[in-house]
Amino acid sequence: MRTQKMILTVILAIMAAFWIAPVIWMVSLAFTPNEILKTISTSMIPISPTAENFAGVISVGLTSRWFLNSIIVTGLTTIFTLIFHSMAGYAFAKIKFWGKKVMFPAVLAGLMVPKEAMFIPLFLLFARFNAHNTYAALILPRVAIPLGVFLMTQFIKAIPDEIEEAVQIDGASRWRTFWQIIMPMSVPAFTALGIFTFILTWNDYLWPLVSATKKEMFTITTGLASLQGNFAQGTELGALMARGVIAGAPLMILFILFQRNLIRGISLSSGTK
Amino acid sequence: MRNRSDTLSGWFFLTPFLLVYLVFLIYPVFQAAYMSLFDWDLLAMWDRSIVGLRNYAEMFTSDNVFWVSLINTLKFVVYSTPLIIFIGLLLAVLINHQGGGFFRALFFSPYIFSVSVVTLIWGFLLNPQQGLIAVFLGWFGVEPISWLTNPRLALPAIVVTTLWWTMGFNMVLFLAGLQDISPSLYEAASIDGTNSLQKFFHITIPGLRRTMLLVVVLQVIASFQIFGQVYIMTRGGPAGTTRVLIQYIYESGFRDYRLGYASAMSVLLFLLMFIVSYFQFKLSPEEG
Amino acid sequence: MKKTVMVLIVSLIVTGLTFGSGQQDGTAQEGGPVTLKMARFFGDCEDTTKGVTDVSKATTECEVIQILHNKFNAENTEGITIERLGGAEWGTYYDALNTSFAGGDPPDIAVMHGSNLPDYASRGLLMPLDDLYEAAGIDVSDWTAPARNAVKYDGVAYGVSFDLHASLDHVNVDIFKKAGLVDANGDPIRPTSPEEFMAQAKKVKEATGAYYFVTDASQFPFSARLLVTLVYQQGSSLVSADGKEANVNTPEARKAVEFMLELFEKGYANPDHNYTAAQQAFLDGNAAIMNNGTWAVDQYNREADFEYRAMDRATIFGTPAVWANSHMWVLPKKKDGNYEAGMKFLKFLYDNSFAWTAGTGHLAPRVSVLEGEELKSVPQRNNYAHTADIAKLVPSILNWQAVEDILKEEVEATWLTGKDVGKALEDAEQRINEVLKR
Repeated sequence: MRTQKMILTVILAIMAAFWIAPVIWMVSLAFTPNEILKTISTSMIPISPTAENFAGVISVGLTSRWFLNSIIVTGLTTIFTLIFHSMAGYAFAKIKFWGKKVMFPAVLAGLMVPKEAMFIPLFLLFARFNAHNTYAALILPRVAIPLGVFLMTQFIKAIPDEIEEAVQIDGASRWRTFWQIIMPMSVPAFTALGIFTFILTWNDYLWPLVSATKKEMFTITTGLASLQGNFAQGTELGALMARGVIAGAPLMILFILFQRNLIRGISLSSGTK
Repeated sequence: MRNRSDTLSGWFFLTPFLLVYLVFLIYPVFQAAYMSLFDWDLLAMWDRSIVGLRNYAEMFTSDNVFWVSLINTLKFVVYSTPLIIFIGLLLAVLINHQGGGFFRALFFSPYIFSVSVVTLIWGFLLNPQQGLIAVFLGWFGVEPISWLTNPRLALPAIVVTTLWWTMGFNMVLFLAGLQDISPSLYEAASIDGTNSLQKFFHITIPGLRRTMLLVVVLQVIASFQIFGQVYIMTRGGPAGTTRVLIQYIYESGFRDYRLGYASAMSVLLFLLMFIVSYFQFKLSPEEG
Repeated sequence: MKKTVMVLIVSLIVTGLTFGSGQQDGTAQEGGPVTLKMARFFGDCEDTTKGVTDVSKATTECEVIQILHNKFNAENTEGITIERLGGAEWGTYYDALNTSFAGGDPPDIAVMHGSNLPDYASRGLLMPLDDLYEAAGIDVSDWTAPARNAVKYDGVAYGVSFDLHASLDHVNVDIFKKAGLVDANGDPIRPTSPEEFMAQAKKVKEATGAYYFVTDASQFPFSARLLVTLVYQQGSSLVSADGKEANVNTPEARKAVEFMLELFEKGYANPDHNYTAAQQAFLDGNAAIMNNGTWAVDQYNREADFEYRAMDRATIFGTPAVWANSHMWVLPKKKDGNYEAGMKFLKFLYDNSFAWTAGTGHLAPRVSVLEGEELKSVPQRNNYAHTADIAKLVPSILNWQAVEDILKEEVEATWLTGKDVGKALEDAEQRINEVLKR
């Protein structure tokens, strides 16, 4: 048994090494001067490490602006999503209202819609109002996530009815109950849904590509992609990799801090415990 | 009385979500269907004319690029789905048995990167002059391969990139599903003297049925909509051999100015995915 | 209650933020100060050009246009301010422009390639300029014939020509010397037939092991442009004279593609090269000739550590000709468009034609500049002066972008996927006919 355990651990370790190697490589290149990378670009450890690539990224070009755009768009999308979805989840979980039996499956049916493929009509919708290259265009289409409603509903259902009833006997309105009781108790679900939304929105590519066509409205995701085709790959590899690190670092940090919650949330929404 | 106020409350809470959902998720589907019946010019929108089903006819009968793009998309779905699911399952089982939080986080972590970061890393990994893979192959005496300009290797390279990127998500779903299988089942089997492999096939796999259905559906839906990796890594090349349907929709709409034609293809993609998902649900022994 | 009020206030702020984007509408008023929105590619170089109005300090395309822009704002006496409407790379410029047209709010001034002009002119999106040149002081007779034609669609002029840019042979003279391919003056001997071309390539390979001719064979549309060049050199064109039919499945096109294939098959060029790899090979001294454009002249002049010369595209197939496109400035039609003010900026750019050509390597559209003394003192310009005479623009048709993509794809298929040349040309012709039908 012990040898079996050891063998499995070794297999896992080897696979893990291969799995994480690409990321380590990117970080290594990001800390290597461009000059050196012109001739050698395959070292996992930075040769004569430097922070000049990062300094260059922040001061030159639009990377900082792109980063800011991502923060604003992703932040607002996440906030709106959390509010709207917890409200909807509360309605489905706790309120007996006329039409609920029809609306719940109707909302879940939205899972079938290929969001990515619907960029043409969305483009037209915003063009009509000359609303492209705005934050609103990047936020609004991403605020409705059927799976998110499912997650919140499941979670809120699990909150015991008695707690609610106790507050309502005291004369509290649904609204107050929602804000003062349900919301605080839903923090685990919030964290999961929030992180998930944050990741999905931060990484959105096709829609921002289509709608935010002016360079200063790029998100860090589309901005970084735009550099890849045109960048002087031979001469500025380090700078390019540094931008990649900056694009990925915030999410990595968030992930490391909240991974338990995120993974739990994904598990929850799969309908299992 | 209570019921009416309940209904009002219910709808009040539902409305913000519902508004965004209807306008930005549901309405576009109908709008796409509507637009698909027109010759709708991106730069001259006032000039559109209704053409009925002509876009669909053109798509099916005289557009070779459409068929190639559709087939490339299907190829991608077929190559990547079993691979990403199988490796995800394998790792979930290994980690469930042996691994722990650290490995789980490590294998999941690429999922949090955006497509531009992933393609940045893999674009260079695969680079025959500058990449690690060329070095790695060199240890075995293999000449550097230009993966992304080789018509037979470009799509597989993109599949592997996608595997690295998204496998962790399936793995996590499987891990959750594995937790649900009662350990007593395994204990009973051990007493009966069954070995690990038999346990895997007779307890684990059946126990994961619901999870497997969810994973397969989500994976297929995601694969059908592939765009970013291809667009950034190969732009559909070499010579159109990796162009996927969404890229062609994008090109039709924004390079060729044909919003109507692009909408027709979007509608087709939607129907295709709907049918596939429907059958997946139907074919599963229990409901998802 | 307090919480709800807080939430409402935050929502209002947030909503304001989401509908904002840093974009304002440019308005033109009668008399008084005017602000016009200008869209362009050419890159970003804010940090090196802030406050600079001396165009002799420019070292790149971006810097020249940015400094000229600064200069106009600083020095014009009509109270006109030009505001740059957000940048875009070469690759995404038209996406941004199209989105602005689709939203009904295009810029007041925009730069455009001659090959894209038909798409916008044909839809009535641009202001015809024939009647505005004189009032603005632009002498169109000083334009070369190609430059004058470049801004026309269907007989009507829509733009102010900025430059012509063409393919060049960027030559590593040292390699030519080593291979014994220079004449008594030390100048590279140019081939005048495909056989001579291949013979030179062979010599270079044997003497130095270097590629003879490197080109981006898979990334940007260089293969399509090379095809255009070689077909023009045979006196043919890829599209019929009236622009209504494809003319791709021809013996001339076939010869051209087979020529390119031979280059790859014999190892004189690398079919896997993308733009960066080809350029790197050239700059590292591993290629005798690099197939690139006028925009690269100054960069290579600076960076090559061998004897570098920018030369005209060799006449391989009989008739001197080379692929060319053009840059021009247009005035999109707008509800309250101030075209007069726009023309003032265009006149300014017209006046500064020399600065543009000297700073970028592109060919000036004005005869007076091309033949002027000033140009003679700019490095390398003499070496490819003849290109201005042999430059041939791509056909003026709608959807040229789609056509170019098809040519690129089908031609590259012959060496990337081993597609049969005849089939590739057939497919290209059929696909292009579909496009031309629209």
